[in-house]
Amino acid sequence: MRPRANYQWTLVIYNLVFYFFLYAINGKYKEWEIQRLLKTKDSLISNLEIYTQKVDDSQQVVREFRHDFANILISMRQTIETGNVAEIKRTYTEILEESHIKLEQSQREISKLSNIKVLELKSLISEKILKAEVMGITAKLEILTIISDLLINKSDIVRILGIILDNAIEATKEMDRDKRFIRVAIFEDQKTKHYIVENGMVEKELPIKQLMGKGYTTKANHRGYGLANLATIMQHYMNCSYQIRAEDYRFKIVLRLEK
Amino acid sequence: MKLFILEDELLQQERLEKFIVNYLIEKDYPVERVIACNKIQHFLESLENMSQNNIYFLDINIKGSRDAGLKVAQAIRKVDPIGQINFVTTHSEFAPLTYDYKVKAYDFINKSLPKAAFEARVSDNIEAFFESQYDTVSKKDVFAYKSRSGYLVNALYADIYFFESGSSSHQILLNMKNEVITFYGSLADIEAKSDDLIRIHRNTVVNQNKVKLYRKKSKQVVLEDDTVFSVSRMGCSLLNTLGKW
Repeated sequence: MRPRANYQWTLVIYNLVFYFFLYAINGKYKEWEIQRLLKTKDSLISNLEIYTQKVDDSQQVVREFRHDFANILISMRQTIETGNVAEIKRTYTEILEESHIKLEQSQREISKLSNIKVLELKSLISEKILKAEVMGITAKLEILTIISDLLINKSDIVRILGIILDNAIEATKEMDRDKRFIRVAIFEDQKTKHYIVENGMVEKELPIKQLMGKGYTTKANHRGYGLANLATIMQHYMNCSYQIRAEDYRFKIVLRLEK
Repeated sequence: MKLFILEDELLQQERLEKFIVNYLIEKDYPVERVIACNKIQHFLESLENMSQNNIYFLDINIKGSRDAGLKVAQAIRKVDPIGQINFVTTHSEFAPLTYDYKVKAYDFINKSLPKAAFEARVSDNIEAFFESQYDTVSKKDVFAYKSRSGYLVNALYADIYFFESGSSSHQILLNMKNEVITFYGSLADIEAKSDDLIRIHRNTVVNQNKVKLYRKKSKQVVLEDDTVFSVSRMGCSLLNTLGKW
């Protein structure tokens, strides 16, 4: 009789310990999850802050430019009044060149993000574009219409675009500084939303299939792993398809999301 | 073959037209006519009953309408799917990826480029047009398939390695030399498109011209890019009747 009772107690204690651990793990996990959420939120907010700052800056540049422009026009009028054609020509070219440069430098790219109404997407793209610019990469955005819905899960599209843009930055970094470029286009036609990212690369061409195999890490890049992830995420969606091409020193990904 | 110019500012239109006409005469290229318009209406009328494969230089912003150039280009693509469309515009309107996708735009030329650079760009594009005339592909070299969602998949047979259906059925992955495309369709329909395409397995169709090795014993096929596929019994008998390997 006695040993049996002992055994029962052991069982009860074991059970209690087990439940306690379960409870503890659950608590820890929740804590970790909250931490993670807070972190994403923080980065989202800080990205948006930087974006707002950039937009303010570019508005400042536009204001300055308007001011300069008025002055330039006045001086132009004075030149015209002299009637000296050669002088007029010279001033004109000067103005054209100067204003060209100013407009180029006015962070227009970031201000194009105003068409994106989804904060997460705006935050991600502004972060990556700024990161690219810091590395001397020419980044161009084409967002001609307002983007207010994403058609697929926000976190998925942010993850996919994050992978694509990181890959693009990595690949472009290997190029000569003056040749580095990344272009991003988001647009809709009829029922389909398109995300296109194109960037330069040092290789003339690449075999995509091999690149997409998990853990493709030959060459000095890790582009392969991201592409495998992209394929996996896209598979979950019946309304999504993609196209990847690496030819003529250019790498291009097209995502098509149908309504 | 004709050359079209759409530009609402007469001075710029004249500058472009004059340069192009002189260039064509100098090079003696077979252009029937150079047609310059400053109104969209006139331009669209001149498109009627027109032959294919022309060159176009279009401004995007016409009389304050900000996407007039794009609309015109879309109208052009309905009658002329293969011509060369160039957009001549200010830098802030550049959107090469978008316009390449929507109307297969060939180039964007910045209006405010210096004269020499501007003209070099125009003549380069005309040169490229006449060069490309020699390497036109015939229709039977091209795989064309309309996906379930209405998207048109185009590829050269010479580039195609294989088609594979994904984990979600009907999602098909087309693998080419330097390109991968996914779309929705059926392997049976794809296989029927050409004799070169062989269904070697329930979820695989390969281009027989890309098969490097066929291991009869282990029922495997190796493609030129070293992808290995297993072959079903049906596939084996198909490959055996071809008897190439």
